[in-house]
Amino acid sequence: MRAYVYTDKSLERYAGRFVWLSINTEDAKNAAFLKKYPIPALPTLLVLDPQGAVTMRYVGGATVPHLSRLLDESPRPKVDADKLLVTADRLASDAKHADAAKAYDSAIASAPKPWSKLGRAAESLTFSLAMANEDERCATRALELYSSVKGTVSSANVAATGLSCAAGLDEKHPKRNELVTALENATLEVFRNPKIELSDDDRSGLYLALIDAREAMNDEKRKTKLQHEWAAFLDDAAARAKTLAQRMVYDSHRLSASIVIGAPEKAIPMLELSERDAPDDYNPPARLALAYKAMKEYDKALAASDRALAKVYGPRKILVLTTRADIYLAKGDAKAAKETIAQAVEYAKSLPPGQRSEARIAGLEKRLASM
Amino acid sequence: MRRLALALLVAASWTADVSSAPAQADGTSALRFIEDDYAKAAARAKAKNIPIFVETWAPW
Repeated sequence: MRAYVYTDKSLERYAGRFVWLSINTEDAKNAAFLKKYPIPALPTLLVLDPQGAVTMRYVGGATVPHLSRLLDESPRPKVDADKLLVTADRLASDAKHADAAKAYDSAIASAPKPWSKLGRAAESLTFSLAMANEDERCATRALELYSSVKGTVSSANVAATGLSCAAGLDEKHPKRNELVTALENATLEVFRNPKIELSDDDRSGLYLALIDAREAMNDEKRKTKLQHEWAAFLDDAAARAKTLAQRMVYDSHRLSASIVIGAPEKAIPMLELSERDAPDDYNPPARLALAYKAMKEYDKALAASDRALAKVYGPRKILVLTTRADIYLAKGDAKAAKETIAQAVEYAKSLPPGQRSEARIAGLEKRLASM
Repeated sequence: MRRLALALLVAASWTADVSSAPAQADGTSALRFIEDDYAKAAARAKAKNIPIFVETWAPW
């Protein structure tokens, strides 16, 4: 959104209506904020009243018109559903996902028709159910709600989140195939509707959900076809970028796509260009390490990892270290891999509350013990 | 963070809307964001009695 949305002049009309705060979740000085307002995924957009209480929460990216609608939401609840939605947003903001889902359900059940906040409530409900690992209810409710939000921008996240939940159900679950098929059809319907204003990231998210679904159904042929379509779509989106920042936002997904289609070498020129144009950014060398690892060029991967480690900070450093350990393992150097994971454990424990994750530390320690 | 969140949301940090209203020619924000200083934003919100819009992001 930084590269595309906040740069839009039409948003200037909101300038005096809010205090605008940008929080880099990787920066240690934001740890206290992150402890107070846990962030499950990026971007998360919040509106806080002057006393700091959450009055609006939206997890996901937004286009300019979508953001305008979120900013236009009245901070004063007019009907019971509005009040319940604020309660749900606050529970979600406290990472009480199951309780938040119940509150979102109550808000939707008591909503007038039409209700301008239905789309956001439906997206938030499916996301909270997914975060609470209630996959069956997530898929079922997404399918039910899809008919209410059909044709709107919210239908994309409702259908795709529901589809990912359905694809995550146990293979023996009696409703799994039925839910996957129905939500796949809903996702394709969104995908093919030119009247729904989808941003490129919305569309990329739909591709990922559709690919997950085909993988869950063991449909290798269709999965591979979708992966190639996704890669071509991202290349095209990057080619339309007008600034360096806009072009670089596609690097991560383009790298993932090039790896899954079995052509990691395709990402090298793009990442080398990004490293040259953004020399202070740790992302291009961190991504080059992944690309070279996939190409089995381990010495080049370690050299890129060295460059990334010299610049990386915050929780992301853990991922750079675990990738480095994977490169050592692939290279056959188990000792160096173990030392690198030990380094990752030590670093993870050094992060301040708000950035420190006990689950992440436990996962790393488990891995270290198994080495 | 589960895969679902990664698939749908981490990617969403690059929401594009190139075809709508004109962007700033220099690629800078049309809004004056306070960077990484919640205390400053909270004090300003209280003084002006207006809400805070928070964008959370990461450089990856």
